[in-house]
Amino acid sequence: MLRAAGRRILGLGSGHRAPAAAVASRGYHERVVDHYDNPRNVGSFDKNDPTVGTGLVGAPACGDVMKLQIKVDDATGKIVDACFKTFGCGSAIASSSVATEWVKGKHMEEVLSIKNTEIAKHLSLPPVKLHCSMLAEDAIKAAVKDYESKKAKPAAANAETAQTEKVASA
Amino acid sequence: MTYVGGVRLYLGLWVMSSNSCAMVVSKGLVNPPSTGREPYFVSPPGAAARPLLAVDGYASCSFIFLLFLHRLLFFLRCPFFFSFVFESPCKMLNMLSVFSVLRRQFLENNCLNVFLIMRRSKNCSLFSLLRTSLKELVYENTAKRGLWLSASSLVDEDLHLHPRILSNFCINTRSFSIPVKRFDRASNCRGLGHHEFPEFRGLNRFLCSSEAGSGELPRCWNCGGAAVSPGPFLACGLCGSVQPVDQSIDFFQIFGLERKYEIKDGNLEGKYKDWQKKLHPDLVHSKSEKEKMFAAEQSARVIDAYQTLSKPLLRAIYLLKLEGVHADEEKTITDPDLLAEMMDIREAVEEANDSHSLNQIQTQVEEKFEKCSRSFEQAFKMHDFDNAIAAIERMRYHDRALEEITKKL
Repeated sequence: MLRAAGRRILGLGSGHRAPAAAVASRGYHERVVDHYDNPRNVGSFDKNDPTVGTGLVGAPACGDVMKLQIKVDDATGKIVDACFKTFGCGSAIASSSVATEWVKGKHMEEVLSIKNTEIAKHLSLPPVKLHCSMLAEDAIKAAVKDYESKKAKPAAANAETAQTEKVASA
Repeated sequence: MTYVGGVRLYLGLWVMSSNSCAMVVSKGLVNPPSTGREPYFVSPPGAAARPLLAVDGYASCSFIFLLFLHRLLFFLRCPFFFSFVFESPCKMLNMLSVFSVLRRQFLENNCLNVFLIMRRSKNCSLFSLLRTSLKELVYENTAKRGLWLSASSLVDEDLHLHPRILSNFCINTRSFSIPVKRFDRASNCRGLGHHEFPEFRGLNRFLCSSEAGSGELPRCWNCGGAAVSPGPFLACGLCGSVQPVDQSIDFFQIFGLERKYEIKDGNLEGKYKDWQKKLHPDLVHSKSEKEKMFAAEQSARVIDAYQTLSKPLLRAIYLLKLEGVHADEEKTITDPDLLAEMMDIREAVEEANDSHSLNQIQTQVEEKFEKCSRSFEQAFKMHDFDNAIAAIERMRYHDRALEEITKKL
C-alpha cells in the first residue's frame, strides 16, 4: 500500500510498463506455419498475357524476393486469380500467401487499400518481421501498377497505329 | 513518574535532533540554490554549513507547522504516545520533502545528484519501501539497465559507502555514458576533485582517464604507464592489464589495416589469435572483477572485428557505416532486372538436384558476386555512396543465393 502511495508521490501514476507479449515460446504463429506447410496459390502465370499483372519486389536488407501475379477480368476490373512465388523467410512466404488469398475476387481499387498492418495482425507477426508484410503490400501495388501499364500500352499502340493510318491515307 | 519523565527526556532529545534537521531544511527555503541545474554537492571549499537540501515550500511549511504542534503538545505535558503519534508524520514529511527534491532531480535528469541525496538522507526504511518506485523511475527516465542496477545496489547496501559502488560505476561505463556526460561538464569535473566525497574523487579520476582526449597518450588504469607501442591500446604493454573498451578505435585499427575495402596480406587470422592471447577472458581468471569485465568486452570486440572484416559483404557495410552512410535500410526495391535475375537464380537452385549443377550455379554466382565487389570498391573510392549502396544490395542478394546453394550441397 505504501509502495503504491510512493509511486503516486513520485508522479508515476498508472505508468505501468506493459508486459511483453505473453508468448512463452518464440516460434512462428500457427497461421504462418499453416501457410508454410500448406502453400496456397503457388505458381506462375504467363508474363506476357495482357490480363496478367506481375509485381516483383525485393527487400535488400534480408535478400528476399517476392513475385505476385494477378489475373484480371478486363470487363469488370475484378481480380479472378492470383499466384505468388517468394524466396525468403517463413513470414515473407506467409504474407504473400495471405495477400493472394485476400486479393482474389476483389476489385482492383479495393485491393490497393490492403494495408501491411492488417496482414501482420492476421499472422501475428513480431515487430522484427513487419517488413515482410510491407513487402507483400508493395507486391500487390506493383502487380496492379504493372497491369494498368500493360492496359495503357496497347491503347497507346492503337492510338499510334490510328495516327500512322491517318498519315498514310492523307 | 521518574520513569515516564526519563522517556520524555529521551523523546525530547530525539525531537530536538529532528528540529535541527528542520532548521537546516528551512534554511534551504530561505536560501535556495540559484538555478535548478546546479548540483547540490558542489560547494566551494569552506562552505561546510551550506544546507544540503532545498525543499519545496509547501512541504517545509507543513513540516514546520507539525513540529510546532508537536512541541506545543510536549510542553503541555501530553501523554507521550500523543507525541509519538506526531513523530511519524514528521518523519513522513521529512521523507516527502526529500522525495520532492529527488523527483525534481530525476526530471532534470540529474541522476548522480539523486544518488548523493539518497546517500545523504540516511533513511533506509523509506527507501526500502519506495525502492520499487525508485527503480521504475530510474529505469523510465534513463532507460539504462546499468543505471538501474547501480541505483538498486545503492539502496540495497543500506547507504553504506562501499568500494564496490565505484567498480559498479566503472563496470557500467557504457550505460553511464549519458548521465555521466551530462554530469561531467568541464567545471564540475574539476570541482569534484576537491569535494569531501572520496568515492567521487575516484570517479573523477576514472572519468578523466576515460576522457583521455586529443593529444594525450592513454594511460593504463592499473600501472599508470602510457601506451608505448604503436597500435591500439587494448592491453597495457608494461603490466599486461586489459584496458576498457575505447569505442573510437575502429575495427580496421585493431587489425592495423587501412580503411579500404581491399585487404590483401592482412593476415587477419594471425593477428586475431595474437590479440586473443592477450585479451581472452580465461587469462584474467584470477584477477579483479573489473579486469574480467574489461577482458570480456575487449575480446568480444576483437571477435566482432574479425568476423566483420573477414566477410566482404560485412566489411563493405562497415566501411560505409564508418563514413556515416547507413546501408542497411528495410525499404523495398523494385529494380526489375536485378530481381528477375535473382528469381531465375533462386529457381534454378530450387530445381537443381545434383551437386554438379549446383556447383556450376555456385561458380556463376560467385563470379557475379566478385563483379559486384569490384563495382563497390570503385564506387567507394570515388565516394559515390549511392552506387556503393546499390552494389551492396546486389552483393547481399548474391550472398543469399550462395548461402542457399551451400545449404543444399
